[in-house]
Amino acid sequence: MNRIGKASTFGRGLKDALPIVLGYYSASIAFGLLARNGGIGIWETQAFSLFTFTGAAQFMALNLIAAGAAEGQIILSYFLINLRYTLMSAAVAKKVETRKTFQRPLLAFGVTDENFAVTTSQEGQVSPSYQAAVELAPWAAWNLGTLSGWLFGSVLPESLSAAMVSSLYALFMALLLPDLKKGWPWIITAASAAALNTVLDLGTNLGSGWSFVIAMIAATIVGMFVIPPESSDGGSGDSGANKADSDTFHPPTATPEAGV
Amino acid sequence: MNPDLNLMLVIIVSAAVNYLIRVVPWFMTRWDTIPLAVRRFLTIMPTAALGALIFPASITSLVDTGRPWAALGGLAAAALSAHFAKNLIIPVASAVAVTWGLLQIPL
Repeated sequence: MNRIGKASTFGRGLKDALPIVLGYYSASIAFGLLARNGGIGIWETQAFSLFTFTGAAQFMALNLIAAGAAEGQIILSYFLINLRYTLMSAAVAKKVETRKTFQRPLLAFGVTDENFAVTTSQEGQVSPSYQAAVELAPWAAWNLGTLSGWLFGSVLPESLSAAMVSSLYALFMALLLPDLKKGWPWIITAASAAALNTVLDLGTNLGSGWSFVIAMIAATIVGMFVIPPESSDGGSGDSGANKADSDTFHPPTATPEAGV
Repeated sequence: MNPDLNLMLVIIVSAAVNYLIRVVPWFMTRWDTIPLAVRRFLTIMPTAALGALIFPASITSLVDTGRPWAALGGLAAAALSAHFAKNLIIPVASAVAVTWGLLQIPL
């Protein structure tokens, strides 16, 4: 039985990754430029993008290096800012139909906010080649942007590059809209996450990493209360009985709610 | 030029930490054996994540331009065109255009 929806090919993944590529290229130019201005060499700058591939944490690392922070502090910040990827990676892992074990450690590398959002918004399961494309193309763009930012600086006027970076938020909004159309419970879930993250991030000293994690978890719990089980149980709820129960592709059947 | 070995070490350790965070969930128990509540959590979480990804970062990312409210115009354009378009590139392109346009308005 094929449980993979339209998100089945590498080409389809490239197409869906295009908005991410646009946003990453622009944002990573800024990273390359800032790193160079901060006195960081081309190799170290590129190593950041090649091996860690994480927007906010990379910018944070530049700030910490500039402030003369200790090594441990930089590593700890990376951990805290990126803690959310544990949950995002879990949601992506659930969505990708990996048939071979070796595919998992490879696909785990490139999970980001943006491709997590794209993958989890697909109907049904996605194929490993689709997932590879939505990770690889943005990774390439992020690294190319980093390199050109370090070498050439910002080639775009400031307002244009700011507008280009806003493409990432536009992408999130375009991916969120179908959820919002599902009704008030979903709107309440997204809105409470947005409100809570804004209050925590701007109004407290938690830092953006913790703020995000707390807001995301709290709003998801709100969602578990307000969203009817039949539209969000991720399957039929017949735990462990049938492999096909583990996805969101089949119309779920009404089941008594467990644990909520 | 010689790479700063100390910084390289920090990058490598950060990369390892970062990878561990991402890789562990891929080797968790089979999804069909985990409790329903956890599956519900993971199904609803993307919606909450999107809300928190958009705010406040979309606004604060434009603070340097002096017109952070321009982000709201871009988001509105994205939502409106996503309502009609089936793909992602049209909402993104229209949001970039609207945001750029708003950033041109003299302060």
